[in-house]
Amino acid sequence: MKNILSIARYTLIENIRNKIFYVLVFFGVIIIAASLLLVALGGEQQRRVLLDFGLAAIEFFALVTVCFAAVNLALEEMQSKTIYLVLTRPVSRAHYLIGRYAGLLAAVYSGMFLMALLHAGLLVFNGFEFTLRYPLALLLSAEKITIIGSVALFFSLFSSSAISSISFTVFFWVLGHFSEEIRYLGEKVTYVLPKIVAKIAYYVIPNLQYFNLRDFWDVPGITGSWIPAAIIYGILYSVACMTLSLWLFSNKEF
Amino acid sequence: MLAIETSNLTKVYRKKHLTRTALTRGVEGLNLSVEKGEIFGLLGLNGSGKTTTIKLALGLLRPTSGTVTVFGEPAGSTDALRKIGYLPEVPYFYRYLTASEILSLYARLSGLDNVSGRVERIIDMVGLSQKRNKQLAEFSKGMLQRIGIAQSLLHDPELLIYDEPVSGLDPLAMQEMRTLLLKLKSQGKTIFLSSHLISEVEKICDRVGILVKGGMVRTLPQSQWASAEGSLENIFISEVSASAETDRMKL
Amino acid sequence: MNYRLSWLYVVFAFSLAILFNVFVVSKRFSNPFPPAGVSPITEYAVFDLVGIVSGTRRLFSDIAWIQLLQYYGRADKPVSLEEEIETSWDVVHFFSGLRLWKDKHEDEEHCDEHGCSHAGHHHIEDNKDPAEYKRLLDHCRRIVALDPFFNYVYLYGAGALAWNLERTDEAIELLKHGISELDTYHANFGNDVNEPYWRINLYLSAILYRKSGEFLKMTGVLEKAVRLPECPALVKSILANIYQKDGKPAQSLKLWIDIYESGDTSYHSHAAEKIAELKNIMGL
Repeated sequence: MKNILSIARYTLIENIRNKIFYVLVFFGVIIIAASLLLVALGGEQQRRVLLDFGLAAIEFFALVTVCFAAVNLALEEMQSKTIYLVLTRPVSRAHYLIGRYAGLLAAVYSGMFLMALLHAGLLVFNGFEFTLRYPLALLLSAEKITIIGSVALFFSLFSSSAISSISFTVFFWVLGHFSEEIRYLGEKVTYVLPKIVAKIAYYVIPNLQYFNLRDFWDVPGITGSWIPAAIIYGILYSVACMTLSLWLFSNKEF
Repeated sequence: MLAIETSNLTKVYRKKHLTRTALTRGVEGLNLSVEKGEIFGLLGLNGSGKTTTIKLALGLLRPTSGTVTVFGEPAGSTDALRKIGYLPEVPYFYRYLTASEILSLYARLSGLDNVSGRVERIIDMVGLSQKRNKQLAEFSKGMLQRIGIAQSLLHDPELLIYDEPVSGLDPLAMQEMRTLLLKLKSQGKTIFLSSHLISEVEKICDRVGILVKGGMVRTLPQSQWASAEGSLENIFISEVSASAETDRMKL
Repeated sequence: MNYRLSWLYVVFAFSLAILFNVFVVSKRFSNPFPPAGVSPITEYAVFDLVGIVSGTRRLFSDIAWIQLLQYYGRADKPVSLEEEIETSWDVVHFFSGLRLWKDKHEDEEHCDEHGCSHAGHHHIEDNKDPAEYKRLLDHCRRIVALDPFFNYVYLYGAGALAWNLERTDEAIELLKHGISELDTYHANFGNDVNEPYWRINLYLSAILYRKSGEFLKMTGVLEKAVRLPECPALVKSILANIYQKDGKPAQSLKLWIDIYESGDTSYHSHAAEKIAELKNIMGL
């Protein structure tokens, strides 16, 4: 546990001191500030526009950060050989990978938190009435990012190219949001094989709609009864992807 | 107990292309033993398998066949790694951490308790006290080499594995390294180093192994080259030439 | 060498996650959004699809909403005094006992005799070109295709279509679409949709009464509508003018103050003018 925390700590420091991280946070802050321009165009729906734009910007920022950071975490470290002086210490590869992943998530969550503070401030200034839904929407966004982070880590270990790792991760993000459409198509199609393929795809690909509470804001009568199960599912799926990453990593040679 | 022992150690690199797989032998049938408390030098040309041997001993590579143990433990196991201090040919560090931070990280990963005290002593020892809070991105090559040495000694390991430790160093730095290695030996440490600089190896090593094309062609104690200056070089060249001749005859 | 993880652990971990999804999460979750369809405005089809596949339906519906406002120009062109009077003029006629105009010739003769104000001669052809904003309904449909629960769009769109553009059939089509979406949602999920459902029905009633000339009932329905949250300023302004013409300045003033404070900046200056005018009338 001490090893995991030590590695997580230095990963967090490394990410936070990385200029790219500052650029991304700055970009995120600019996006939220720029949303005020859109708000002015929103007519009587200003608060809605501000809410939606801010939540989407926070999630988008986190997605971009986690993609780049996860790819760098494994790929760049192996290519730059900084990994040698860690793996030649009495540290198991599992501890190393988990610690790196935890540090990465901590860095991304920090950025999300900063942006959320700014966003919440703007909402308060515009007379928005906060409910539990707001932090819950952010929590589920963070859960989504956790899953995508573990997927990104797997792709970075699987592929030797940063571009392809990022591309695959983004593609997975799209697939995850398209799950419901895949299920619908599977129900509509008449042939058996595509039906089975669609059903398997629907269950195997993580359904990121489970974590999209920010899109369900005005849905009447929504209770969020699926949320606790979705949170557990998110953790299980992330652990599964990390297990896969660990399997790859434990077989890697340097 | 031997510090490092290999038995018929073979490593074959497989590189997959579209229609074929290219096989390259890193080491083949290597039998090596490093005694506790000695300085053992692994000599060889570029591509002879020196770094492969070191990586196999550290567990960074997995043998295709054969075994390698460190103080009786399987190479790469946490028990073995706990006893090793490693200095790669070119040490790479996390650029955004400071000297103190990186050494503190390595100290924690090595399982040390009094991290800050140990780090302070080591930083002083390598003469980087003034630079402890500078990010490593701002360090010169020589300073990075000193950090490399510092991290290898941090946890007071029994075995030091140094890959080309004097490569790229100026004569003064080379002498400092030599002095350090001899001092460490006097403290009872075992040092396993690889190099292609014969003049340095013959000054400090107790025994030398000559690697040619992944195979150990000869192991000789200091007494066999100490008698005449430059004789280790002659021995090395003759072994390498003999191996090349054997290859020509086979063709 | 460090312990090499067996692939069996990987299989086990994924099996656990997938089975949990199959038997637990997927049983509790139902996607409230209908499947992605083709956007009513084909130029935005790809753009809207990006919103769906990136999980940002609401955001893209907001962008579509802003595009609607830009298209319709309500944010930039507040209804003028003459236009608002003209819109509620037929209702005023009813309350004042004057007959409704039937043809232009009669109107001109009437006004030549009685010296009517210019506003009284304002016909629909002078107000807006019927072909203008012909895609307003498509814009509204586009927004609700992305977010069917963006109820405000039904109300705003219907109000603009019915009262500003006099295209009551399109307004009715839009509201009926909203009702149909809520019906489908309620049938699939069983959730309570009374609040938005009732509000949309209210607007539908008002527009149907307007179409059939039952202005008293229409006013009654509008009074209920303005008391509900998310009532567009446009609809409030219609009722405010009706009150003013009906000799109820206090009620009109109350609505204009409400409009001014609503946050829709497009009505700010006009609402300020009306407030000043009404205060003057009331001697405040």
